[in-house]
Amino acid sequence: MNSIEDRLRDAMTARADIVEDDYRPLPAPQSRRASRSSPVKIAAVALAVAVTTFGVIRLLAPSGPRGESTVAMSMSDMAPSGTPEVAVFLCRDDDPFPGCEGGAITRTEREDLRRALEARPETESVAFQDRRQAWENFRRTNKDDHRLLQAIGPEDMPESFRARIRAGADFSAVARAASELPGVSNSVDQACLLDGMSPWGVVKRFLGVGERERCSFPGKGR
Amino acid sequence: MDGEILRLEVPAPSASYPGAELVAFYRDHRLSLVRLAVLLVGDPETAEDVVQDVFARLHGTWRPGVTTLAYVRTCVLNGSRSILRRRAVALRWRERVTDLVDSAETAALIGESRREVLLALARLPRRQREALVLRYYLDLPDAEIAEIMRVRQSTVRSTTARALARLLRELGDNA
Repeated sequence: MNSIEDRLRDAMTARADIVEDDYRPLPAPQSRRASRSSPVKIAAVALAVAVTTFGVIRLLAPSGPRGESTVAMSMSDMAPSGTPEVAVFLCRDDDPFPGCEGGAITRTEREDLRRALEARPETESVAFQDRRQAWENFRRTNKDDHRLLQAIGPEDMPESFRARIRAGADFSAVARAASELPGVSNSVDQACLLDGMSPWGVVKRFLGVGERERCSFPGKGR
Repeated sequence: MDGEILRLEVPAPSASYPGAELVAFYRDHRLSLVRLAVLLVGDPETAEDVVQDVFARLHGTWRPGVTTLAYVRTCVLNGSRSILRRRAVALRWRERVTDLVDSAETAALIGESRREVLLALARLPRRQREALVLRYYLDLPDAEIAEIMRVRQSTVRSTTARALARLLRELGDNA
């Protein structure tokens, strides 16, 4: 008689094999999320605030389709003053970031993270941004996109620490170090992002140099 | 401009956006990832959505040697968890996801005995289901399952053992 293991193998393989290949094309980055409204898509858009990578910069390139820049702008999520910071996003419950396995950031992890950020020689000051503030910023940068604003509420936004960095200090080192602490979903070097949007950044992309420079560091997990 | 010049020394990868690696990876692994997801979420449409979503997010984050099949499987697992969680909030997931056999047509193709197993699998707690799918569908070793699920190997072993015991109980003498 079949063992339970064999029955499992057999049943799962049979179920999986029925799924046929429908040859869908590779999906476009992020942007299509804005126009769809199933729950996963909403999660993806909310996530976009935290996911800030080379992809963002590409979306902002002059040739990019008009609709894509909305999400990209929200991704950059600069401080109201416009000064670049290092943004360290905290894990939420059920956070899709791989580094967030194990759930939301704990109180101890949060305190340790803040202390670690404050202890960096590059850091000038550290501020906390709650979901409400994050959402206000998001709403301000996306005030014309009603559909996006309908889909996203404060509860979809990630909390974050915002580290102001001393002039001339290394943003990237702080962002990288933060990503290695538990409870961090993603940390973003906004100076690097801004650079990507500057005329010089556009030239570098055109030349194909520095294109994959990292502005965003996914959390390493616990 | 000092900072800029330093950054120019970062070696530029050869492939251009959206990344030949991503396109090739998508071509080679999309179907197998959808099949993995269907065992986790139940219906092929949702499974497709989960996988599409993962790839939409992989744009621009591709790192050779870091973005591995294990990493992408982790993303699929996490995406499936999110959708199950959200579905639970929306409509009490037991009403919809207790059956990994989503249509009469599928049921006919699969047969009653297999369907029983899949039903029991769908009723397991999420982690137990994940462990069994990775272990017995993908045939992965404990080390790799641990990496994908982001837990210790000992946890994989105990989770798998508990899941099997529960299946045996549920399926009774038929196993």
